[in-house]
Amino acid sequence: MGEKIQTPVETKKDTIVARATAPGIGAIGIVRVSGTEAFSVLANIVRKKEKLNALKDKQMQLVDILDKDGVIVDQAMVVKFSEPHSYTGENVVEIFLHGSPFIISQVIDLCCRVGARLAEPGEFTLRAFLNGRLDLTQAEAVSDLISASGKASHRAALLQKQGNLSERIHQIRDRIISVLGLIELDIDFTDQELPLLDNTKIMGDLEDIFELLEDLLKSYQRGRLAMEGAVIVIGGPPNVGKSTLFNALIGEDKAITHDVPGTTRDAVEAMVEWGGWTVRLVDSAGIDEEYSGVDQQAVDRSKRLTETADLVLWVVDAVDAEKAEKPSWITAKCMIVINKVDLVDESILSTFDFIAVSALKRLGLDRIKDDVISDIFEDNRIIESTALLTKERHHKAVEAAIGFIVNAKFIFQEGSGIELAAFELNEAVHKLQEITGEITNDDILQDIFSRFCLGK
Amino acid sequence: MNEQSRKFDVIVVGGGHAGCEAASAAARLGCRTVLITQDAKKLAAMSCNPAIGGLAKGHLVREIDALGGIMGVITDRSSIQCRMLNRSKGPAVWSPRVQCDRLRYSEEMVALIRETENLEVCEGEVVDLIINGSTCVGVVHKNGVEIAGQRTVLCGGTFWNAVIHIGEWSTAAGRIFEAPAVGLSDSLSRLGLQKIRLKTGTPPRLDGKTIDFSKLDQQDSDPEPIWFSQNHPSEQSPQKPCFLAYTNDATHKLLSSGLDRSPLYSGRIGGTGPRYCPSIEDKIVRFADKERHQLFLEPEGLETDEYYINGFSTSMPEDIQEAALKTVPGLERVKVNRPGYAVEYDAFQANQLKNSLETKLVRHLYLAGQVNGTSGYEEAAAQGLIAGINAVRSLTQKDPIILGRDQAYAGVLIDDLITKVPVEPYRMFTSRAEFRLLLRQDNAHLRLYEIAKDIGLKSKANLAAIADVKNTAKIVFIELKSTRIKLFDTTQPIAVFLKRPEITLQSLMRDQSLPDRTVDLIRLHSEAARQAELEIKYEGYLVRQRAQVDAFRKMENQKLQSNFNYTSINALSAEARHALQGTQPSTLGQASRLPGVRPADISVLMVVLRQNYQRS
Ligand SMILES: Cc1cc2nc3c(=O)[nH]c(=O)nc-3n(C[C@H](O)[C@H](O)[C@H](O)COP(=O)(O)OP(=O)(O)OC[C@H]3O[C@@H](n4cnc5c(N)ncnc54)[C@H](O)[C@@H]3O)c2cc1C
Ligand SMILES: Nc1nc2c(ncn2[C@@H]2O[C@H](COP(=O)(O)OP(=O)(O)OP(=O)(O)O)[C@@H](O)[C@H]2O)c(=O)[nH]1
Ligand SMILES: [Mg+2]
Repeated sequence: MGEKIQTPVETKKDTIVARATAPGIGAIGIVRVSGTEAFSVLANIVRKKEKLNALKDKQMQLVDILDKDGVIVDQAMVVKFSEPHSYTGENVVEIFLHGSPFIISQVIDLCCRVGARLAEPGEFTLRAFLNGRLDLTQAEAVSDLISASGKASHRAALLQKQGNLSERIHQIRDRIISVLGLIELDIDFTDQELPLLDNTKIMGDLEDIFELLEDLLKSYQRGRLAMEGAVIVIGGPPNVGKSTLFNALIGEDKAITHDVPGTTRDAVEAMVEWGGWTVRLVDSAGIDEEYSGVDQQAVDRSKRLTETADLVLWVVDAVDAEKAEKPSWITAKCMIVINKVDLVDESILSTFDFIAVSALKRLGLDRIKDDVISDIFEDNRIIESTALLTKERHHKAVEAAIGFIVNAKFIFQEGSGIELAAFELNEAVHKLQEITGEITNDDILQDIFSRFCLGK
Repeated sequence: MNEQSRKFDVIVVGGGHAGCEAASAAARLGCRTVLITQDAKKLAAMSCNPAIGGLAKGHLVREIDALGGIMGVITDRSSIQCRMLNRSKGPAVWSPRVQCDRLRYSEEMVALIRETENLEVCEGEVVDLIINGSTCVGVVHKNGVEIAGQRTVLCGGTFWNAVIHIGEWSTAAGRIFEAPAVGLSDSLSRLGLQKIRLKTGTPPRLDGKTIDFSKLDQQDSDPEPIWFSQNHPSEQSPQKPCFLAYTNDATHKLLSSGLDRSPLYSGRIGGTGPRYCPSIEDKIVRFADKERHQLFLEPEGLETDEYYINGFSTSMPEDIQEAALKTVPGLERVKVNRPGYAVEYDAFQANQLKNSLETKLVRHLYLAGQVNGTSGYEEAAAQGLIAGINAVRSLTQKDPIILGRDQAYAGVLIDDLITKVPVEPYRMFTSRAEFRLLLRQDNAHLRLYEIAKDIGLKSKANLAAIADVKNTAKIVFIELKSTRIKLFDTTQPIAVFLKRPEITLQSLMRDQSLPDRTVDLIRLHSEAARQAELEIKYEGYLVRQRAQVDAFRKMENQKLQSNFNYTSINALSAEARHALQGTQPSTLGQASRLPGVRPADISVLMVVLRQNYQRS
């Protein structure tokens, strides 16, 4: 028949090389080599290659890296991992160099001269996956790990990599399957003497499952905060010093400040790390309800920005301190910050329970950081044992699974055909297994492997 | 037989449920066919309970009829009690079950086979195959005569190297009082096919004249007749009730006292039995805290007083069987006509078959029925039909009929058989069919219409009748969607009301809520109306299930090359490599169902396929 026959072929097994640490100048730079020829690649770029013969797996060894003319490029620590006990499941060599970009690229070139090939984006992880060293969720976590910017996000990614999420999903799936078992028994053995299907028990089980899933769903907020950081929008009337505050908080003159109201038009963003948490700080255009035209548009934009924020810092000029209040149109969490306290008598301010700062003089800024951390991050502390949803894809799948559980509960209440309840529960199981990659979906794979960056 | 007459297009070995379907199909498709079986008077014997259908099996029988097989016809002719199981649940899991007159069933089969053109029945035992290279070209009769056949279908049932056990006594036999078949199974082993040893059991048969029915609960036939076949008789034969009895503590004590003499517990039976169909001794050991077990007394026929006691399958010694039965209220004076027994037999791992049921090792050789590790008449018949059809199609150079899991229970059955390594005899369940909302017993003829047309076993008249229902169902569907009626103070299309669980076309007709034109349409085309009604009632679910089918098809349509060297893909787990290499699945979907192949392996295959695809 007309269908195209696809032939599986052998996977590429050549030896690849790439930088394993993020680009930029760091204390050390790691170059990783993976493939059958990894050990000989290393041997061919060092002085006294005999030293390597005695080198055991996972043991460090100091070597001199030589260029093609026998000149020392760097003194490096090397470590080797034999297949299958390595990250990729192949023979792997890691070379720890002194972090200059120049040295690193020189070593990569050297490796390529002696038989390695520059890795494609995501190729190390792809190989690890193909060799069964990682499942899909773990593979996804690796790409997070690489792009992780704060300590919290690093931990979340690590947790996921260790399989916490998969474990949790399996537990919930098994509970659904045990309910399914009862239903199928009732359908397929109806001609035998069986105790009647215990509807109350099943409803109870479904309720439990529902709650487990809801908990997991809630962890998305936590997982997302940890992975992507919190979005904090600085808003307020024109000329109150929002941009000055922004610059003070990021420690850089990124936004333009001026004593003319309406200086900021387009939002300006910056990433900062506060107490290990990642924060995306956004400076927005001042909001004046009287504005019209282009200014009006900027106001609308600022308002919209606050909708997606995890927190709005609403800045008010100290002279208007007594009128300060959270505008009713803000739906997100909101903290009021009184600015320019250097211009007023501080004793007035002590009567309000607001944060008071001087952006210009850099006074009281720590209070903002502390309050933000305790307000949005503290409740969301990541405990080692918890499973976190950190991906939009996972969130959607859990949400869908909850929908199916709700349907199943409804069917039981209505008494409208347990085979339909079974259908819903099967759908829920499938959705959950999509997360752990136990249902293979080409689109998921496509998406995941297209997002890996070079190195891992 | 003279030299010339010993040449056939198709040879079928074994006249059980599988063999009769295979032989009948091959002959009716125009091939010169011979059915060789040990006892020509015992065609399609019901070795165990005298009933056809039941959960999921009823689906199979309706599909057999839809594809042009004969099991439904024979069942309808010998029905003595019929019931629709699971009526309290949704229509997808309703299953018809028909109690048959055991003797009549076999007689009807003998008659039908005898009147089939192109079909010869030859009594005797086949002891060997004639192999030319790696192709089967005929069989050897026990008397030494060689019979040539272009295609050979083996349906040996429970007879190959079979041993039956009753207590401490055992003897070589395929069914009680019937000789086993020896030789054939060994020749398959010699050809390289992997053998497995399975076992099953059957309960005693009781003399109804010695049963006190007044102490038992009676279970009557459904008021409406249930037919499996389009070609059913116009009248149902008289119906007979079944009865319910219960074991008690005394029964369990007696059985326990004899456990040391049970072949199951003394270790003399090595074969694996079905978990879902345990013997009574198994039940009292495994469920020791259960106070009583339900037993069904099923009539064996209209002209006999014999009863089959369902739920009391046993291989205990005869004296224990009888004493234990006598502790059951109603059976105090019971006379046992024939004791229950267990049988051990050879079967062959069906993953050595292609989905056409031809063996991978030996060309032109097909295996069907119990020898493929299944249990049950319906499972056997479905395979026999498909094997018979495919033997002919291979002879006439047509693509084999391969039913998808999304098309038929028979498709699920064969796909499971060839992808899974059996741990026990395989029996059909509705839960094995992941698309069961679509695969209903009521729509078997409709969903298999195109395939039936392609096969060519169905009469023109039958096909026309199905096409008519298909088309009329669409008309009724539109009628129900477009005709508005007033109910509960709102005016809405009938279809909207039908979605409520408590409302059916029947209830609407009863309450006179429908306009005359609609009523006439429904009355005139009741089957089509039923289809339209279900299509509307379960619309949401059917749409979702069809979406699942689409996703499934995507995987099924990814064909894999045969004879591929999977051992070269290091990325696969060792287990998966082994399974893929051994089975050589024909699609990615099939690969995903092999035991030992984890989803991660499928991801690997997908990535590898895509890499290759991108490169080419
Ligand atoms: C004791 C017992 C208990 C059972 N219990 C159950 C049960 O609990 N539940 C259930 O679902 N099913 C049960 N069955 C199974 C049921 O009988 C079979 O599934 C069904 O009959 C299989 O059909 P078949 O066509 O494959 O083989 P069979 O019906 O066994 O027919 C095989 C036929 O082939 C003939 N034959 C075999 N080899 C040769 C040869 N070499 N040459 C010529 N003729 C040959 C035999 O004589 C026989 O007529 C039981 C069977 C037995 C014997
Ligand atoms: N004295 C004093 N002046 C400040 C302070 N913060 C900001 N200013 C001054 O206030 C003026 C406006 O500051 P911006 O940061 O541009 O104000 P803004 O809120 O971003 O204004 P728009 O973008 O126009 O809405 C500048 O001249 C700043 O130097 C402060 O803490 N103390
Ligand atoms: Mg500004």
